[in-house]
This record gives sequence, C-alpha cells and structure tokens, in this order.
Amino acid sequence: MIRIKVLRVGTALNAAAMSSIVVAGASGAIGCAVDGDEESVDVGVSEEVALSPGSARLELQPGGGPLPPFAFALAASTTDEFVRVGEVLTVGVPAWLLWDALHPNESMPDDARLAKLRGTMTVGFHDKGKKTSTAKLDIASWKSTIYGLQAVTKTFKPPKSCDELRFTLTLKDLGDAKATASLDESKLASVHVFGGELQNKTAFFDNDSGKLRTRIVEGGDLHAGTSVLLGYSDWRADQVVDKMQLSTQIGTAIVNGRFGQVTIPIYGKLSYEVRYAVSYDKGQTFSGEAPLPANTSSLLTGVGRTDYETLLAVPANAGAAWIYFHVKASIVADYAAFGNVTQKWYADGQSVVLKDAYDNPSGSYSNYELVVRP
Amino acid sequence: MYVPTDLHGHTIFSDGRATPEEYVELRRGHGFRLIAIADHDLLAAVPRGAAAAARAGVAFLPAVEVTAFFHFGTSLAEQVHLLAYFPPHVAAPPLLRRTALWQRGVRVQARWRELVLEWVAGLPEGDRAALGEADLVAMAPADFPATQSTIDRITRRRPELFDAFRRHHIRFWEDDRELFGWDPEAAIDFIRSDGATDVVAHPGRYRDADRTLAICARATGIEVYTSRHRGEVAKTWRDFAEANGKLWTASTDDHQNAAYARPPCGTPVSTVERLLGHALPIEEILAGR
Repeated sequence: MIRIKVLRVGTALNAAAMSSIVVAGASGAIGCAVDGDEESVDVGVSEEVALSPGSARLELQPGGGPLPPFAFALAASTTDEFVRVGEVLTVGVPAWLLWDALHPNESMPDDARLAKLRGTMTVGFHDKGKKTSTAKLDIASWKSTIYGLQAVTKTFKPPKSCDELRFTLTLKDLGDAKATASLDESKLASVHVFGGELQNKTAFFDNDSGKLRTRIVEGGDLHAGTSVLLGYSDWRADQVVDKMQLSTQIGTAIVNGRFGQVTIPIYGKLSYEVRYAVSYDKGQTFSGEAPLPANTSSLLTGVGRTDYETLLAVPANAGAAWIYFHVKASIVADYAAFGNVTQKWYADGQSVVLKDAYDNPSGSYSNYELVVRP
Repeated sequence: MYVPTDLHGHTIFSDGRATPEEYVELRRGHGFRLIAIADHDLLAAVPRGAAAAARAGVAFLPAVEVTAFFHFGTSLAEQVHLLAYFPPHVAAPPLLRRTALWQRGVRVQARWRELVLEWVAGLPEGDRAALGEADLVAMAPADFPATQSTIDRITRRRPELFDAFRRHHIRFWEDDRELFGWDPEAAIDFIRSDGATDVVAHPGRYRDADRTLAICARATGIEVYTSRHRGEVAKTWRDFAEANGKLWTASTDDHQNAAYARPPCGTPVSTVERLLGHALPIEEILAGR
C-alpha cells in the first residue's frame, strides 16, 4: 500500500486522477498540489479507482476568433476543465443571447420580459463523428447572475462511448408569437467528451496557477496493451523554461508612427521543441528522446494554443511508465518583416536556442511515473 | 491589496501594432489578472480580446479611450483622453453593439476611411495605384486599415508619402467637431450614461493644469501608473486620487513602440470591484480562476 494525498469527493480533483501520478523513486506523498480539502488515505496499488465524472454547467458565450460565434465554457465544475462520459451537465444560456437571436435590432428589455423567452437545446451525442443519440433539453429555470438572467436547461449525461457533443438551439418568445429563431451546429462550438474510449486514456502534463500539474484525464491508471495520448501544454513549457525571463529581442528597427519615426525593439517568435523519453520497465531501458509534435487544434488545450502530443502504445507487459521531458526554447532571427532594421543581433535566419531545460519531477534523473495496470 | 492589471493599451484596431490575441498573450505571460484593451474611440478589438482572455483565464474589461478636447478649435486646443470601462459581460457582441460608445466607434471608423480615401484620391495616379486605392475603396469601414496599419501600408508602399500623410491625418481629430469637438465633461457624461466607468487617462500629460485638475475632480477615476508618467508624477496623481476618494488604475498605454514594462504597482481591489460592477471573491482573481 502507498499513502497519498487525495481530495474529498466534490473538490477540484479526485483521488483517481491523482493516484496514478507518483514520483518515481519517491516513497511517500505525491507532488501534484491543488487547492482543495485534503485528507490522507491508503490506496492499494493494485486497486483501480474509477473517476467520478462529477457535474458542471456548460455556459454558452461568444466564441471569438476562429471559433463558431458561440462556444461553451465549463462553469461550476466539480472536477476540472474537461467533460467526461457520465458527467451530470446542464446548459446555461444568457438571456441577452436569446433576446438578441429573437429580436436582433431591439434594445434589451427588463428581466420580466426576458423571462418570457423559451428555448430547446438539442444535444447530439457523437461517437467518432457519427451521431448515436440525441437529447432535447428545454429551459427548465432562470438563474439570476451578477450580469443578468441566465436560462438553465434540465440535466443530461454524455452516454458511454460518446466522444463529442454537438448542439442546436431553437427559440421562441411567449411575449411575441411571431418571433422564432434557431442556432444550428455551425453557430455553436462542439464539446469534446473524454472517457468514451476506455481503456485508452490521456496523460496530460500542464500547469495551473504557476504549479506544474499532471493528470490522467479519464481518471484511474493506464492499462497495459492500450494506447495513451501523451499531452504537454504550451503553458507548461512556458513555465519550465521561465519564458518571461527570456529575451526574444533580435535587434532594433526604425518604424513610422503617428508621432513620427521611432526606434523600436524587434523580437523573434519563440517556439518550443518538446521531446520525451519513456521507460516501461522502471528505468532499466529508456526509449531515446523522441519529439512531441505540436498540435494547434488539440482537444486538451483548445483554440489558440498549442499542445505537444503523441500517441503511446503501452506494452502488454508494462507495469509502469516512467517519463521525462526535454524542452528547448528557440527563436529565429527573421528580419524580413521589418523594413528599416538598424541593429541585427543575429545573422539572418539564425536559429538561437534561448533555454534548454529538462522537466523532471524531482530534479535531474527523476521521472514522472504513471502506474500501468494489467 | 492590489490586483496585477494593465487596463490601457492599443492594438492594430487603432495605433498599436499587436493583434488582440498577441496583446492578451503578452499580459497572460506577465501574470496580470485583469486586463483591458482601450483603443482610441472604438471598441472593435474587444470581442477578439475578450475571447482570447477567456481562453487565457484572464479577466477582461471592455474599454475604449475616448478623445475629447480642451479648447477645441482654438490655438490652445489639446486632446484629452477619457477611458471608459464597461463591466465584463458587455464584451458579448450583442450587448457591445447596443452601447452608444460602440455606435460612436462605428462612426469613427467610417470617418477614418473617408479621411484616408480623400487623401489618397488627391495623389498622383502612380501613388494611388501603389497604395492600392481600388482595394481600399472596396473595404468596409470595419475592415479598413486603422491608424497604424494605414501608416504601415504607406511606409511599405510609398515611404516618401509618410510625412505628408502624417501632417494630413491630424485633421482627423482637429477638424471633426461632431465626433471629437466635445469637452471632457461632456465625454464623461456620455460615458456614464452608457453604463461605463470614466477614468482620466494619463493626466500628467496635459498642458492646461487647471482644466486637468478640474476634470480629475469631476471624473470617477484617474489613471495613475502609465508609461507616460514618471515615478514622481504617478505619485502626485495617486496622492490626489486618494485624497479625493477617486478610483485609480495601473496600466501601460502600450502601443508596442517600446520594450514592454509592467506598471510598478497593481490597481486597488476597491477600484477593480467598482470596474467589474460587483464585490469580488478577490482570491479567485489573484489565483487566476
């Protein structure tokens, strides 16, 4: 038996998510610090602890950028930022959004008028791109928030094997029978659901409020003979190389502005090369360092960010996965975008490594250990 | 208690060089918990900035830097800038476009387009072609290059015209009484009637000291920390704000024309709560949740 710190049910993370993350070679508590109500418990190393999917509210909000016009943010989650199979979900829609869809050119009325709006959210449950079932969710209640009314639907749960939720919304107005509107799937961002392909899992290495964090997103441990998506977030790389302390300046240029000419610093674009090495026999043999390819449309980090990830095949005889990461932060001295460069600190096109750092849990030659069960 | 903030800076939607996404990402990296984009006279960058901030886990205020004048139309004329801060939910486009400041921004974009096209139309044929006049004419006001982007276009395609354009573009503010020929008091009233909070931007920059003091006494808040204030100037305005019960803010007025320097102090929690429109579980902002 090993003693680990876990969070009580209903707090930010659960025992299962944390039980599989132990520092290789360490004999005691694990190192993944999160806020919450902690207690120490004994967990049998051979015991699989199922992840409680918890509950959350999917709040519709403007998408912006490359997203569809509206996307969902996870609010009041009892677990974390991911949605999982079996999670008890509601959808919250701000009243202004309903009103704007029904009455786009009218000013916002008072709450009593807004409460006459009605809507039905249809949720399509998808598995590998194919719709397997749907649920129709009427607005069940109005919630008063700091910034106005919010319509809340009745609850639903993503079923087993579901890996994506797609939505449509139809609206009507009890105060104006002629007003109807609908938002189809192209207007509402879909939501990825984790845990639909067990026992394949996701090992996600990221950070939270300045602390490095490691999770098996689906909970529990890895399983021998399955596949694991290994993810490493851009913001974790930022922290590991201490990005804000790196100078990315490559020179100076004179540019024109409203008040005349000014000399400005010019910067190279920071990029990361993230590599990993893994051992399935507790360090007797390690794979050579291999790259984690950058994914700018990752399900783990979302739009506008980069996750470095690869799919691992866990051997059938594996008992654990020991992993470390190697992060190189570089810039390329590209002066082409600047017309009047006055100082070049590097040669044209020169690639410069600004930081070369290893991500080990307890310093050099220590490894993250992911427990692998038969 | 202070919250790490940068509540005043510019993007490609006015005279800055950063996209809204780049603007937000830099501030996420610096660990700010509350930020705002405050472009000159328009809120066009707000939807993209708010979306980027939401993804970055940083609280975001829709804001605009409103241009007014002391002594408009006289030899003593000087611009005065009022920052208007809306509560966060107003960043949603359906709410944003219902504000009077958004609608004023739409008129500002249309007027800017007119000013640039008028100037281009007066150039010789070769210059007009080089600047891509046909493309510019085809652009809607919302897609038209803003101040810095226009200057960059001219610099890239006809650098010898830059000085002429710079002299010409000043007319944008100085000749337009309808959009800009109001005094700061009127601008403050307009901001308040639109549901926003008014803050005097960089008060240490203005020449008319008496009028500046009068405006600061009238305003809800004062921008204390900004790249345009040296340390002793910031202290003077902070003392003034605290003595007169004003909100005060810490920002940069970043135009991406110099190396970025964080404000030396955060914004008081009491000001942040007022700008957000409600009392905070401040620990959540400080923790980045």
